[in-house]
Amino acid sequence: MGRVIGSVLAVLLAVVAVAGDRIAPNNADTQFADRAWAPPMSIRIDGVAPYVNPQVLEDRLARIYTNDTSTRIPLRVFASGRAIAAEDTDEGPVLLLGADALGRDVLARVAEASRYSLGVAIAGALLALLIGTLFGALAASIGPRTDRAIITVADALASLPVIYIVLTLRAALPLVLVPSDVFIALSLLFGLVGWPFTARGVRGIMHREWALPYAEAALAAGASRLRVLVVHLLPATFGFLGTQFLLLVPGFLISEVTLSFLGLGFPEPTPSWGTMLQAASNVRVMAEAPWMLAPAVALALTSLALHLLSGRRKDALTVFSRAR
Amino acid sequence: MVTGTVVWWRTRSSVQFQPSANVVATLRTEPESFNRLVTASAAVDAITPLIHAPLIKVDRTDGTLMPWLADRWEALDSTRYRLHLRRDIRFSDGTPFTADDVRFTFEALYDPRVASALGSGLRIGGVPLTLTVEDAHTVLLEFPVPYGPGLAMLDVLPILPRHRLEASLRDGRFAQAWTPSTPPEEIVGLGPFVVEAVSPGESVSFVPNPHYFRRAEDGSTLPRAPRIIVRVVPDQSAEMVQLESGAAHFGTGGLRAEDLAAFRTLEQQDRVRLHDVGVALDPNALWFNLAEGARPATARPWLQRRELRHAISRAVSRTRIVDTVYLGAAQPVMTPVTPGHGAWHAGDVEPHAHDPVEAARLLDSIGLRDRDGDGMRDDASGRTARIALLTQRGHTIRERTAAIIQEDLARVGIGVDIVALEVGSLIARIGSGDYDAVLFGLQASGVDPAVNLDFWLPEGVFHFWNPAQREPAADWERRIAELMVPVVNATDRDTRLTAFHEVQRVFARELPAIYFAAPRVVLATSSRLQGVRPSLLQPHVLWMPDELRVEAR
Amino acid sequence: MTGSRLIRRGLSALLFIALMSSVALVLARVAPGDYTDVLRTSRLSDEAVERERARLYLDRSLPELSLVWLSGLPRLDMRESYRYARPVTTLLAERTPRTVGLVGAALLLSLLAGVLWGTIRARAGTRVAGAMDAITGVAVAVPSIVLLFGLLAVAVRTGLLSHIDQSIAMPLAGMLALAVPASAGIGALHAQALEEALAEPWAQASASRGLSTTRLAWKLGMRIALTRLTSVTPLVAANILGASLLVEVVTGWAGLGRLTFDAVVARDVFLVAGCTAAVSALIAAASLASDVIVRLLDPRTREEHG
Repeated sequence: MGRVIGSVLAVLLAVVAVAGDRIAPNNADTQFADRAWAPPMSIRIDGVAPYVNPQVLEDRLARIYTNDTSTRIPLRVFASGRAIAAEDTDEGPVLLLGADALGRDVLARVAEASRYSLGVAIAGALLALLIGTLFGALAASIGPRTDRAIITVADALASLPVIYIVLTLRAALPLVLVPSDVFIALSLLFGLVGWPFTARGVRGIMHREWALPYAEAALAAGASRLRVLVVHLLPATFGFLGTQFLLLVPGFLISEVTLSFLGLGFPEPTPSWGTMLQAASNVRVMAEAPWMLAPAVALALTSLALHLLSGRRKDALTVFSRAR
Repeated sequence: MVTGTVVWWRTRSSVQFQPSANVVATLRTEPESFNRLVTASAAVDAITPLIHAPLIKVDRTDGTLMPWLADRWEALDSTRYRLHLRRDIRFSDGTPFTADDVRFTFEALYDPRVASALGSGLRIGGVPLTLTVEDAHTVLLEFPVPYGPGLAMLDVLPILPRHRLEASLRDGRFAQAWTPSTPPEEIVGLGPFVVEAVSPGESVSFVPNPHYFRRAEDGSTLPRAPRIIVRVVPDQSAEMVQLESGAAHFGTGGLRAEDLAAFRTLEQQDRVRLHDVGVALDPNALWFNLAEGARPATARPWLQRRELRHAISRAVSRTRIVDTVYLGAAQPVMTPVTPGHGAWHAGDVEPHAHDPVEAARLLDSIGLRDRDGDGMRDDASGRTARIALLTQRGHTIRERTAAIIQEDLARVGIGVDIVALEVGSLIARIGSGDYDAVLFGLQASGVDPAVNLDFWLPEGVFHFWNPAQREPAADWERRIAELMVPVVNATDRDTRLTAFHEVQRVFARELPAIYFAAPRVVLATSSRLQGVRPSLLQPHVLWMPDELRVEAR
Repeated sequence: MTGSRLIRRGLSALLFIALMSSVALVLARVAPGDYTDVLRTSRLSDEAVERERARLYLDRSLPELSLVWLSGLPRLDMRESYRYARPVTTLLAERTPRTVGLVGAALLLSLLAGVLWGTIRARAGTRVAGAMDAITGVAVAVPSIVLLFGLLAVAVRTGLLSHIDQSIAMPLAGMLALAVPASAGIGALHAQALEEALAEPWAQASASRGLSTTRLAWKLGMRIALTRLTSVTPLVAANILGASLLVEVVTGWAGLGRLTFDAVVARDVFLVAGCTAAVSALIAAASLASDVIVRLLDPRTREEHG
């Protein structure tokens, strides 16, 4: 049951991440004048036709908006290259999740941000798997000294909370980078930080596999160690690698959010869940503009989906293998 | 784990509710020292009026000079003043105050080993003032040249106790003398309060100075508050919450636009009092690197053209900045001299209206045209016109203003890349000239332009678009330098004002820096707080702490 | 638990701390931009800036700097922080207890809540167990920071926040946000460990003999499960410590996490190294402590190692 829900959520997330702000009626970076801190507009139905009432700015300082119930803006699904589109109108933008401090559509920004946040988490996880598999295989296959060396380093790195390592490593880079550089830098960082967990698991599996009869037989038959490693032993790790991936991604997602929150991730105006949460992280915004917390909901759903997909193995290593 | 919980419980209990008569203020950072001569930070500026006293204090409500440690003075000629010090005044440890302490303070101020930042501000054209002691209660102060602001300069100089600090000045340990870890009894001054206790990273508390020399008009002793606690609250949102809940009686700066509506409601409920002290003195500026041979300009000479700056001034909607960034609680401005500067502000210099058509014409005139049909202008070599705009990361107002500038310039075909830097790196980049354009602001140190010569004069280090020029780089720079002479050296106010108004006209014509909007500064104080003298200059309330007190309800 | 083993563990922990902090030092120093930029902004004269640079070791090369750092460690002299102008050890001494308090309280709460939850789950019937598993699944997955925002948003909207003192409410919300995912995880592990312990031969045997041994089995089973839990505790503590950084930043809790971030951004080289040393020390201490407790608790391992 869990896996089903997880899969459905994951597919939805993938769709949003691929479509970006085309999910919403507006672009992620358009600033709408006279719409700073506008609240979400509710969708109403007239029979089968959905519509919204346009917003009117009543008091700029107190950020009070009212709905003009005498007019309607009809909504269309899958039109004009967007999932939800509004008819071209002078009545102002359709803000289904409200607007931020600069009058930008929050729904569009959350969707667009998923590309960056998820993108860098996935890239980092893949890199961590690659490096971890390499080191794990080396540890299990070369000899006891290499094994001890690699496992000592892996254990030391794995024991520290990930975020502290990421923060320190991030600090070694220029504090401000352009978005494409941030993407590369964060992916590399996550790869460097995540490999120990993968390495330990791959090493364990390979140790076990090397001791099995078929490996000895293959060696005896004249296959090189490398060939045995790649052709016979590696496939044994695939299951583990799959689960690892599903565990690494949420952890890296949190790390990206933390870094962006601290200003060390994607720079404004690039939308990212971390920077959007940072703008929402004061009591006044939570009280008066709670729609700004939408990225938190997105984050929770993503984490949930990935954890559900990874199944329910309950050993300590899987439950607590990622420092949050 | 158990110890952890116990420790946590103990630290929590240290933030208990305060007895109701204490005045509680908040600061962003804790003061790095108690010696204004050594450290010039906002926190030290805020607590100095509590524990120290100057010779003469400027009444910020009307700009007049108030007798303070000096109870009368006369001008002997255009550069020399004789100041008569009050008699029978004692420091907080009982030691009598004499002219020797004034001499010592000036000695420390100009001592090269101390390298006081305040000392460089109290020089005129790099030449220090000369102080001569005539007798135990009279001193002679000599300026190197006639100086417009005159004795008002002394407002910022606290008089330090010779008997406590002379030894450390001799040994070269002056800069380390009064840190937060110094025992409070050693921090001696002539101000209304003395340091009671320092809780590192959390708060500093002050109690009345038993020897304070001032008395109220009705003869009762000053200060009125039994204790002032200054709490360190780094986050402005957390500060607002403390103000709202009454845990703090006033804060560090003006209210943000997004807090205004909530605080107006609180004022109606009689929980706070709001003070509109005027238009801010330090609006943000957008400027380009106008230095000769600046690296970005060699490849893109159009970056240094006056027409570009005029185009930007018309392309960016000041109204939109006022409405979106400040939610309407601001005023469009054209120069760094805002209506908050009072008479110094030249009323005839109007901010440009939003005129994208004129902006487009100006950009066409310097050869920036859309040559490849992509909607963005290109220079003569066909490259898209892009500007890398540096600003301060974490400063919401600057970041939002930059975003609006980016949007409005995109509409006229100029691409802007915003690079938000940590303030230290930003200032380093500005210093090294490694930038296209910057959106930033200087904190105002005073209303009188003569104290801001680093900014106005071409040779000044804070003349940010082209600092430290050996020779004025353009005719208009020379003109401003000439006009500033009477502003600095004339002692007649009208002469100074007229010259300075002309400076602003030249500035508006050349636009070395573009200004958009200045917010109204609104201070919030608890309705229980009495004796408040709010001021537009920092520190807004603590500059005059003598009468502050909290009424019980 | 043999003394020599303890000493060896202790030494390797110290080495770990020294190494980690040195790496952090090097990284912070290698970073472009340094504290000199900030110095220049304070309107000091050039010579004053040079003097400060020398005093703060900013003009030394990397190897020299590492040596300065390592030589100070045995004496617990971590030099001075640029940004705060105070000794690093003093700053750490002030901030670390606050983080230990926050993390410790969250850990304690999650252990208690987790054991309770796990025990109920182990004894629950299939339908209740299924529901509990679903809740556990969600609670484990949701990141602490999201929970924190949720708690704060609810507290603000219901007006709770205006009645409780901010300085209590914020850290409390932070602690709860940290404890919930950990409790769920611990609960799941404990339920599994308890079920497994009770399914072991000796427990089954006692039950079948009919001695009032369900209670005995329970007590022993609990003991074994708790032992397994204790060995997991360092991992949980590390998790909570990691999550506490962002929680500290959001709630304004003046602990190690906030200090590390400020240090990193200010390029405050010695403070960064000091914070890393503190975090490594905490992890090492937690791991050492849990090893000791495991050996005390589990009679089987005690027999093995004498």
